[in-house]
Amino acid sequence: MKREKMFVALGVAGALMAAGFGSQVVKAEDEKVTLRVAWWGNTERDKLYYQINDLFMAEHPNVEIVTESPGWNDYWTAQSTAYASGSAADVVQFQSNQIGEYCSKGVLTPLDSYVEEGIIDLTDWNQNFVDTGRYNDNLYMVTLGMTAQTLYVNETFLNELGMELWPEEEDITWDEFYDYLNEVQAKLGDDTYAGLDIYTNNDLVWVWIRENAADGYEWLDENGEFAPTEETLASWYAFSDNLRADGAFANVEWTQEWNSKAWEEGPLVNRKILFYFANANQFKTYQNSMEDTLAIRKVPVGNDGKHGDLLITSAFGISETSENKELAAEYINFFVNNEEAQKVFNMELGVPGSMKIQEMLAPTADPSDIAATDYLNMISEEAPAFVAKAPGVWAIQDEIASTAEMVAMDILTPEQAAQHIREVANEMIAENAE
Amino acid sequence: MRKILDRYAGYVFLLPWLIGFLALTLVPMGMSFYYSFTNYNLLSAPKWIGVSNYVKMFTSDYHFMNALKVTFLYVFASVPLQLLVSLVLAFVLNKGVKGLSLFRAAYYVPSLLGGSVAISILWRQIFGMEGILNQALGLIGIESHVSWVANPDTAVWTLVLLRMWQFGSPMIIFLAAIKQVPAELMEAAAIDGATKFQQTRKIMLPMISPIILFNLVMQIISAFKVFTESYIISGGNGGVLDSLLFFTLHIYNEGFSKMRMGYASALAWVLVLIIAVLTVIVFFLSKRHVHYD
Amino acid sequence: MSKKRKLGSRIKFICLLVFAAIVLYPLIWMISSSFKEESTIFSDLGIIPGAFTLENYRIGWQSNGRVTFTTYFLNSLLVSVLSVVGNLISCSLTAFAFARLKFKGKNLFFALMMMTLMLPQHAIIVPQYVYFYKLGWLDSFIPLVLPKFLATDAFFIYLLVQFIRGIPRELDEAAIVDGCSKYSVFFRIILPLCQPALVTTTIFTFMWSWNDFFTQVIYLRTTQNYTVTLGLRMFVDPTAKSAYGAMFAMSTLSIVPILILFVFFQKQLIEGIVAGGVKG
Repeated sequence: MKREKMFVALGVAGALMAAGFGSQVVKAEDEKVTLRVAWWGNTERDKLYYQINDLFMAEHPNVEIVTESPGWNDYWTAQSTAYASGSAADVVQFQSNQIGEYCSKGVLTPLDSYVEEGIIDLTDWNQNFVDTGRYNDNLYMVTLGMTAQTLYVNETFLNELGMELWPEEEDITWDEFYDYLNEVQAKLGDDTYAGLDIYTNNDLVWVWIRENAADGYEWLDENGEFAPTEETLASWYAFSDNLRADGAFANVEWTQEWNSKAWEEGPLVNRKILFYFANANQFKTYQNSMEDTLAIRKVPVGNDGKHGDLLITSAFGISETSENKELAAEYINFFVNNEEAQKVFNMELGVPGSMKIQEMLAPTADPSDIAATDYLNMISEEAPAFVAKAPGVWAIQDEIASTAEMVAMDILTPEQAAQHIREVANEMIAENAE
Repeated sequence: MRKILDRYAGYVFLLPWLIGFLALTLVPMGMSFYYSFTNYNLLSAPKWIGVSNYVKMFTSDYHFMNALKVTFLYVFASVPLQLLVSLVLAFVLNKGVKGLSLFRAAYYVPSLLGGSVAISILWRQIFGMEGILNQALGLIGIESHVSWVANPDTAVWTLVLLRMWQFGSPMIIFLAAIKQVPAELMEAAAIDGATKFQQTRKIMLPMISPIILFNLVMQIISAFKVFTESYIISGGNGGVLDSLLFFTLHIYNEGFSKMRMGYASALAWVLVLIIAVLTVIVFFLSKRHVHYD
Repeated sequence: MSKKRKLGSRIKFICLLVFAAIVLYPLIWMISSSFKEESTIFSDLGIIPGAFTLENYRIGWQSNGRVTFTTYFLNSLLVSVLSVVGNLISCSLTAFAFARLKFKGKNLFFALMMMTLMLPQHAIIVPQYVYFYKLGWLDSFIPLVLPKFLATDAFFIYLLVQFIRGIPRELDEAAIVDGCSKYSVFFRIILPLCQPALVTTTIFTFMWSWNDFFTQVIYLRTTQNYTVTLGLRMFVDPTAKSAYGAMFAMSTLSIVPILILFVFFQKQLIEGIVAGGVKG
C-alpha cells in the first residue's frame, strides 16, 4: 500500500511542478510591460546588450526586458519556428540577407510611421545605410551596424616577399587580382598559399553576381526568374577552380579545415595565407590577433570595371505580432541613437548608421575600426544601390558552396554547376512566390 | 466497482500512453504526412503540390542520395563494430577480473556523454588538421597534415569511431544479461566436458540472444537518428562533398535552414520507411537465431 | 590457482587497463585542458597541465555575465529530474499493460508503440511545436517534460515490457488466486521486481534529458530558461572568439551529475537485475 501511495504522490508532485512552470511563464508581472528582444549572441556580446538594456530600463522603470540570444547557428532555427507559431520576440535582430525572406511573408511591421513621428530618429544617418532596411519601399529594419566584404592583406608578409600592395583607392579587376595571386604564390613555400579559397564565401558570391548584373535586376529578371546567368555563375566557379589548379588556392580539405576555425585562430592570423576576403567589421579582431600589419583593400571589380559591393546590415525589426510596437520602436531608437548605449556597443556589429554616433566614437576608436568605417562609407557611395534579395534567393547560398566542392573534386564542371544552381534557385523562388 | 476497474485495467494502465500517443505522436504524424505533400515554409499556409516532394528527392536533389549513402555506411559500419566490442568485453569482464567495477565504470563513461555537444567538439579537435591525433602520429614519426574530419574519405569513419567509443552502454546490458544466465546451466555443461568456448557459444549466446537482438535493433535505430555529432563536427553544412551529411542533418537543413518544411517532412517519412523496413528485416532474419525463454 | 592461470589473468588485467587508458584518454585530455591556460590547450598533448589554472572555470561559470551556469545547472536538473519521474510512472504503467494485461486492441497498440520507437523526432517536431504554442507553453519546460508523463519514450516501455516478460507469470497468477487485483499485482509484485529496470530507466532518462540538444534548442528561448547544453553551446559561436578553456571547464562540470548518478547506482543497475529474480 505504501508503495502505491508513494507512486501516486510522485505523479501528483510531478504534475503540480509542471503546472507550476506553466503559471510562472504565463503569470503577468504586476503592472510591468515585458519587451522581448532577440539577437544572435555569444557570451561576450551578450554582456553589451545587457548593459544597454539596463540603461533603457533605468529610463523606463515599468519595462522589463526578456532576452533571447542563441548563437548564430541556432538563431535562424529559433526565429523561423518562432515566426511560424506567431510567438516571435517584439524586437528581433536580422541580417539584410534575410530581409526578403521575412518581409515578403508579412511578419514584420513597417517602421515608416515611427520614423515620421520621430520615435525613431534617422535624420543624421548615412541614407545608404538606412536603405539596407527597405523592402518594397517600406522601411522594416534599422541597422545596428554595417559591414561589407573587403580584402584583407598581410602587408608585412607581402613586403617580405619583395612585393608592394596597390594603393587603397585603386580598383583592380578580378583578372588582375588573379595574376597577382599567382605572382605571390610563386614566391611561397609548402603549405602556404597566396589566398584563401573563396568558394565557401557566401557573402562574396553575391558581390560577384552584382558585378555582372544590370542594376536593379541582381536577383530576379523581368520574368521573376533567377537573374544571374549561367555564364556569371560558371565564371565564379571557374575562378576558384583555376587558382586551385595553379596552386594559389589550397585544396578543399585544407580550406574546409581552416575555415572551421575561429577568426583569431584562422589561416590569415597564422600566416598560412596572405589574401583573405571577409567582412570589414572584423578588421580590429584580425589586426589585434597578429603582429604583422594588416591592410584592407576593395573587393576586385568586374572585368568591365563594375562595382558589386553589397552592404550587409545587422538590424532590428519589430514583429507584426508584437503588442508593444511603440515601445519596441522607442527601444530601437534608444539602442541606435543613445550615446551611452552606443559607447557600450562600440561597433560590435559594424559601423553605426548615425553619422553623429560615428563622430562621437571616432576619437577613442581603435585605428582598425576607423579604417573600417572609412571603408564602408566609401563603398556605400561606389556600390550600386542596395536591392533586397527576393524571397528564396538567400536559401541557395549553401547550395552554391556545396556545388563548388563538387567542382573542386572534378565531379562537376563549372558550367554544370552553374546550370544546377539556376535550377535549384528557380525552384526555391517559385516555392516562395505568393 | 472494483470488478469493473479490474476488467478494464488494461485501458487504465494504458491511459497516459494513449493520450500521449494520440496527442503527441499520431496527430503530429498526420500533420507532417500532410505537409509532405505541400510547399510549407512555416510562414505562409501549406500549399498542396501532390507527390512533387517525393519526386524531387530522386530527380533534382543530389544531397538526398549522398545523405543516404553516408548514413547507411555509418550505420552498417558502426553498429556491428560497436556491438562486437561490447559483447567481447562483456564476456571478458564477466569472468572475474580484479577491479571489475572500476573497469566497468571506466568503459561506460563515454556512453554517459554520448552525443553531447561537448564531445562532438572534442572529437572535431582530436581529428582536426592540428588535432591531437596528428600530433601523436608526429611523435612516433608519422607526419600527417590531413584533417581526418575534413577529408571526405575519412570523415565518416571518425564518426564511426565515436560511436564505437560508446560501446559501454550495450556492454552494460550484455553484462546484465550474462549475469542472468543461471550458473547451474554453465556448470552442468562444464561437467559434461564442454570447453569454455563451447559453453559460451552453445549456452550463453543463445540465452542472451534476445538481448543481442534488442541491442541490435536499438542501436540501428539510434544510429539512424544521430544528429548532434554530424551537425557539430561538420559545422552544420554536412562536410566536404556531403561526407558528414547524415540523413537527419539533411532533414534539418532543408526544413530549418531553407525553411522547406514540406520537403523536410517528406524526407522524414522516407527515413521512417527505411527504419521500419530494416527493423522488420532484422526481426525476420533473427527469428531462427533468437531464443525467447 | 595454477601459475599459468594466474599469469593469464594478470595479462588480461594489463590489457584491460591499457584499453581503459586509450578509451578514457580523450576525456582526460579534455578535463586536464580545462585546467590549462587557453593558449596552451591545443599544443599540449599531455594530461598534466604545465601551469595549473582555475581561470577557465571562473570565466566559464560567469557565462554571459548576467545569467550564469548556476541558472543553467538548476534548469537542467529540474528538467532531468521531472523527466525521470515522468518516465518512471508512465512507462511502467504502460509496460505492465502490454506485458501482462489482456485488452482489446493490445496487439495493435503494441505495434503502434513499437513504431513510435522508430519514428525520428524530426518527423513530428514542427507539428508538435505549433501544438505547444497553441497551448501557450513555449519557452517553458512543459514541452520537454510533459511528453515524459505521457509515455512517449517508447524505448523504456520496450525495456520494461521485455523485463516484465522475464518475470515468471506464476507469481502474479498466484497473487490473483489469493484475491489480488491487477493493480495490486502491479504495485506489489511487478513494480518491486522491476527495480533494476527502473534504475536503468532513471539513468538513461536523466542522461538523455541532460544531454538533449535538439528539443531544448527549439523550445527554450529566453536565456533565463537555458540549460547546461545551451549554455555550453554559447561558447562555440562562429562569430565570436572561441573560449575552449572555459568550454572544456564547463563541459567537465556538466558531466559531474551524471557521473555521480552512475557511481551511486551502478551496483543496483547491474547486479540488481539478477538479485531481483525469483525468490518464492
